[in-house]
Amino acid sequence: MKNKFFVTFVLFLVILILTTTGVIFYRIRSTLKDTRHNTGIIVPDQIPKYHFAMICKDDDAPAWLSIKKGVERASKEFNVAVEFNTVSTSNEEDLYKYLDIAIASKVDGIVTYVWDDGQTGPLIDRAMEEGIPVVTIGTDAKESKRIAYVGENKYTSGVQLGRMIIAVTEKKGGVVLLDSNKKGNEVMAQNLMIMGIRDIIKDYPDIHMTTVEYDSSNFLGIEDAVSTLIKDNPELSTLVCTSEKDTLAVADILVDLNKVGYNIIGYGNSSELLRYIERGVVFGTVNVDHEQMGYDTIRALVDVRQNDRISAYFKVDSFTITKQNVSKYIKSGEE
Amino acid sequence: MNALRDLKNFLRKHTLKKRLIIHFMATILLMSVTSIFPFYTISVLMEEMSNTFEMNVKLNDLHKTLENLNSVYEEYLNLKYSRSLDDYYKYCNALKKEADSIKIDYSNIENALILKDIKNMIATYMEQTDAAVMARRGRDVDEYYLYYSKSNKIFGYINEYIQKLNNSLFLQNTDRYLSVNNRVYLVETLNIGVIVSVVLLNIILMIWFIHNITQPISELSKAADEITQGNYDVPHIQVDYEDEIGVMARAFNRMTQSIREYVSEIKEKAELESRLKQQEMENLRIKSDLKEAELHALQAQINPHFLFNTLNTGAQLAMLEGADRACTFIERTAELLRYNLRNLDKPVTIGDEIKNIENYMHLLKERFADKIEFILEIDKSILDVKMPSMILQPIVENALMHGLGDIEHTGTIWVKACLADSFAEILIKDNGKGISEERIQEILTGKAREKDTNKSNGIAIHNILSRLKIFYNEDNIMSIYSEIGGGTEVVLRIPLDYEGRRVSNG
Repeated sequence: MKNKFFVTFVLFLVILILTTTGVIFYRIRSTLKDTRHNTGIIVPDQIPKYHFAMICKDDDAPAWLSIKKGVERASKEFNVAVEFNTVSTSNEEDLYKYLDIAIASKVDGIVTYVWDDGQTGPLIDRAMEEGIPVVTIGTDAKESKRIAYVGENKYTSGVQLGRMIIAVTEKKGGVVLLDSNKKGNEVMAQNLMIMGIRDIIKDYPDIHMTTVEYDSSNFLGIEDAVSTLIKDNPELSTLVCTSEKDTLAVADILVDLNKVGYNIIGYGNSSELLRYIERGVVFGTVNVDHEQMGYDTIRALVDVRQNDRISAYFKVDSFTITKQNVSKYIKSGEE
Repeated sequence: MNALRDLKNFLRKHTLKKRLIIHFMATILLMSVTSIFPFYTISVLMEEMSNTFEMNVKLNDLHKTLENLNSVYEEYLNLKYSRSLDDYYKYCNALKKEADSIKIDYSNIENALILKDIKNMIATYMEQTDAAVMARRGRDVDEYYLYYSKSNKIFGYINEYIQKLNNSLFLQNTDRYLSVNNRVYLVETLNIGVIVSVVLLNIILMIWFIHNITQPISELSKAADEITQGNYDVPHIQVDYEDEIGVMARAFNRMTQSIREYVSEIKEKAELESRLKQQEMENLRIKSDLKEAELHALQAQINPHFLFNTLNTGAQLAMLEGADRACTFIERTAELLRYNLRNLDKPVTIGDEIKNIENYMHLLKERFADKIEFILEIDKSILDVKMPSMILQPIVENALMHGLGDIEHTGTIWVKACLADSFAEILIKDNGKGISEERIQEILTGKAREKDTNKSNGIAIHNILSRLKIFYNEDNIMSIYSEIGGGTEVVLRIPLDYEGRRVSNG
């Protein structure tokens, strides 16, 4: 009896050790398999059906992060991999290079940001000639053979900004539009937005809007510009920004300088901005569902791969966030 | 525990050979598992690790070939050596082969995608270089320069991507190594634990198996040893297995059982035989006793018929001469004589025996006149009871000879016969000198016989007793009561229901 008990005990011990070893062994193997390193490629869980390349700019980082989120969602949904190449603003040559690499790598599709029709257009055309469909995002290259454009209506965004200016200034006072010096197609987009603003406020002669240009490639550029503005224009009440990065920077600077009497109207919906809106530091922002934009680009590429014909224009609507409706976005942002 | 019972049940049904094979197989299996498992785990991990580095090696090879290709390609474009062109095609083929040899492994999708990019770019690169070489051969300077610059760009991209993939692989491998390192040590330790505990388990299992197999054998041998020493009362050997040992144990049990039965049979037989022998001895003694009685009877009647006839003639003479007493005397003598001439084997009645002693007494009275008194009291109802002959007369004679022989006063002999319960009691009593208790015992057990035969020619009491015992097949038939100087009393208890079976035997 004692003998049997002992046998059972040792058997149990062996099984226990074997199981533990097996579990550890399995975990080591899965660790070996699972180790991922950030190579900038968004992949689904399975072997991807298509391999797309996406070229974007880190100019307005928060917006691009939202776009990336949308791309990730689409990647999982359509089972495609997306090479996400972010190029810093100061090194625009890389934009060409990555587009060129994407063409040379014979990817299944390209999503690209257009910074200059003249330079990007031929590359887009070459890709199309090679049989690689190209979708533009954010800025369009109308003259090229790109199959689709996904982006916001900059003019509408401008109109919404203008309406917020009227609301915040009570139809009078000095308004400064911070305008970073842009190049290529960005200038056009920027101008469209400014046109929207102007079209709204031109009916209100008491509003004096001036545009201040600054060097966006330099981080100190905007800080200098804002400090100078505040010093030189004592009657200034409202600051208008056209990008999320700028909006956040202006809000930070004003908080740093302890000048909270200014109205800031901007762009974007990052959680920091939402908090600023909630606290009243920022009056309101115009937003575009960037996530939807990212998602749409991938959907467009998948559609063109599978159906050949797709709509050439995916427009994403813009909307405003102010203190009145910010709570809704904070909640959804935290989800 | 259940599993163990099942295993036992399973083993119970198989032969010793099968059981041994199963036991050893189990042991070997366990040992193999313990030796293979650690080896397997470690080797798999090693393979996994080396797989991660294999890609680096292949990428480096690819990079080297690409560099070579690029240098001969540039050399050809610059100098247009035909040797360079040969080299260019050679390297082109090599590069294609190497690129093809790299299998795209989708276990890491990012790496696979970069690799795919690299492969595609190599293809694009080679398209461009081919175009450039063609243009160079056709001396189309503008065109080959255009292709050259394109291919040069792609060459740069490929290198960049190879670098990128290499870096990423290196980082991944470092991460893997760091995360796996500690656990490998743990796995090794646990493997040692597995080996140790399985060795322990094996030892215990071996001991258990061996015990199970040898236990019944040692029990059997112990029991066999006891049997050889003559102890047949060995316990039943219990063996659960139905193998050879089980068969042996059952056979052994049957064997001991039959040995036991056989031995008891022999004992019974011996007992029966000894009883038979005793019976035979008894029969012999009866015969010898009868012979002795007959002999004595013969001694007493030399030519008894002649004597009987003579006595009868004497009696008639006495009657003719008017001597009535003499006549009666002679008649009684003749009757006594005739009684003795009868077939002694046949039983007589008590009445016959009484008649005989009456005759005997009459003669004695005539001879010894007033010296002896003779008193007879007979219950008439028992006269027909059967009994062996020549019993009462010798007892009376004994009483006369030994009891009254030497006394001074008048001797009296009482003979009483009456019914008592289920037997007839015959009492012969004298008032003679008596005998000691020792003597009584001697007489009853027959020890006195040898001494007496010389002195007396009468029939010994023992002879009578022996005949009575054999006749009735009963021991308690005669008792003697006596005291020195107080006379002797012999009591016979004759069973009433005697059918006379013994006589035909005797």
